[in-house]
Amino acid sequence: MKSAGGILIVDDDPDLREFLRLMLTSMGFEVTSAANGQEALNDMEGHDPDLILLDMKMPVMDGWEFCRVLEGRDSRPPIVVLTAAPDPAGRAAEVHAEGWLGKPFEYADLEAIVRRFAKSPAR
Amino acid sequence: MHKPDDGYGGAARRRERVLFELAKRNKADVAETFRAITEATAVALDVERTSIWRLTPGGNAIVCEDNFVRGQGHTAGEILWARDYPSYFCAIAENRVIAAHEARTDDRTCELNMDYLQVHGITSMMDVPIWQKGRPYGVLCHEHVGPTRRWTSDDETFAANLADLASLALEEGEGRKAEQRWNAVVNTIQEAVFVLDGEGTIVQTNPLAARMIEHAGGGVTLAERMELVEFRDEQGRVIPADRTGGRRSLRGEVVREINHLVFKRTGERRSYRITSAPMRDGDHIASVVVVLADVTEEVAFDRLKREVLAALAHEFKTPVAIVKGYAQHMSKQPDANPSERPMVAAIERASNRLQRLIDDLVEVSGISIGRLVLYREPVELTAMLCSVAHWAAPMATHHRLVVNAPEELAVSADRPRLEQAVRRLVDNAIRYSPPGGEVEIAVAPSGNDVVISVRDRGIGIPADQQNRIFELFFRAHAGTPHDVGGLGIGLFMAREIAVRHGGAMWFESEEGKGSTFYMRLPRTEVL
Repeated sequence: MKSAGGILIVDDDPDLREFLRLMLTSMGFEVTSAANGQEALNDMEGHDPDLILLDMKMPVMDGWEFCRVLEGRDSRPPIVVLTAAPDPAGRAAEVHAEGWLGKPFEYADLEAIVRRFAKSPAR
Repeated sequence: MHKPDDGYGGAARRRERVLFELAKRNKADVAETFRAITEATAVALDVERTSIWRLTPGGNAIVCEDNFVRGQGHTAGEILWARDYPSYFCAIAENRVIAAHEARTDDRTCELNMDYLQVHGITSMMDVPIWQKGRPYGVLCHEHVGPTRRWTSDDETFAANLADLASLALEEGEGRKAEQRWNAVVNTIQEAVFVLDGEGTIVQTNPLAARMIEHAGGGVTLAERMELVEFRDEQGRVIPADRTGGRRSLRGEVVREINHLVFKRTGERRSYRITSAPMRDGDHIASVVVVLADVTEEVAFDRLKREVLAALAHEFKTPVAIVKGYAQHMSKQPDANPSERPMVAAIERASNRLQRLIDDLVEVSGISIGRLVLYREPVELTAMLCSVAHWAAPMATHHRLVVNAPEELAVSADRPRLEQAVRRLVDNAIRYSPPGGEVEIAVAPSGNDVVISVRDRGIGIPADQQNRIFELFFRAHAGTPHDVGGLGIGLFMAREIAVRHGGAMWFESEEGKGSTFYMRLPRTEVL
């Protein structure tokens, strides 16, 4: 039986992962994290998140490859692309993501976008 | 006694014949023509010595360009100085024929007696002025040896005709020199020069252009060329035959652009800056000149530069996100230590500055300033200005943002670029206004145009900085307490965008009272 809910953070930068974990838990979300696409896929074997916050440039398996793998499945959680690219909306469109957040982002924007997709059980 | 003619008619015919032969020859080689003239005149006028002398620019000497002595041939280089023969030079300066039947006693020529006339056995001489473009060039000189000779008016007329031929030779020689200079330029420049006819066929090339054609494997006609070379625009899209620079210039356009050429035979790809312009024959465009400068290295370097800047900016963004994120998070903690609040606020401000720098880097790297490509669409301005105000709201927590757009107005514009330009103006207005200040974003019609304005009640621009405000990398407040960071590209980019849309940007500003920036754009109908 898979557990469900919460936000999966996929980013190779441990400091950014830790920062996002802290922010999102303080907003009341359950958070898991992975350092690349492969780790995220492993995590998803036992867990269905409400939302994936996805960095694109990562070692082992990058965001594009990760999205290709998920495209082949019957369903997948919504994805918000977390990118430092000059055209974050374009990046999101490339992988058919549901939303995007350009780095560096505003606290308020982070909160607004995750609340659109993920339920926080604490509230 | 001078040898009589073999009948009046015979001499006249001989002279006419000489003039005719000289007139029809190609006179572009001046030295060669001078030699022909001195030789022919010596024979036709039956004189021992004939010569052409050039007056130096200051008029203080004459230099022998060619001296023909019958039975001896040609010499040159002798110089006669005005200071030695003042009367002779005075006579020359009068620019009339000097017919000295008795040269050794004639007032005008007797000075030459000891040093020149006697040395060469000259008894009579006749000098005829030679003109060059309406100015005296020098003299054609006939020197008779033996018993003195009376120059007839026919002699003078004939000599004057020959002097005219010398003038003609000088003119043609000048033309040829100019042509030679021009050919030397065209043949040595590092650009390939092609001349195309009305069908797009190459009819003339410089050596570099000829080598390019050879490299491509031929391709003189437009159809052949399109077979052998693929033309691509700056964005890498294939240019059809009808849209090449040459074809567009045949329709009257002056084209300046970068093209990438793929040589199909070898697969080689090079970048060229193409300049092509129509050459008109009256109202009609008969041909086109196309100049190609190889900019492959520059284009590659430019791309590398942009990639490095973009990568650098990219790598900066994640650490800034972390710093800024924690600072924002800490500032929102209700139980934070009050003494630490200013420090946290300073960290947040600093990270905002870093972010602005990164954004500037991305912008200068992402845009080649010289060739900003616009993707136009109808843009309704009220909605756009509201969107800008919405974007600015988080920064303007201590300012009053007012949008004043009473009627619907539209322009044909590259929406993201235009919005970016207005954002720049609003961003500046907020940054350089004290808290509590009002920033008004407005749009109003003005004839066939619309004028967008952004007004603040801020610190204004010092009068002595105002003329530099639109320069790239110029920051009016650098090093002052008002310095809020940035690279100094905002206003440059904003004006660049306005200009590329066929518009203009200007401002009014008074130090301590505020600034208003205006952007004028051609108006289109609201859809």
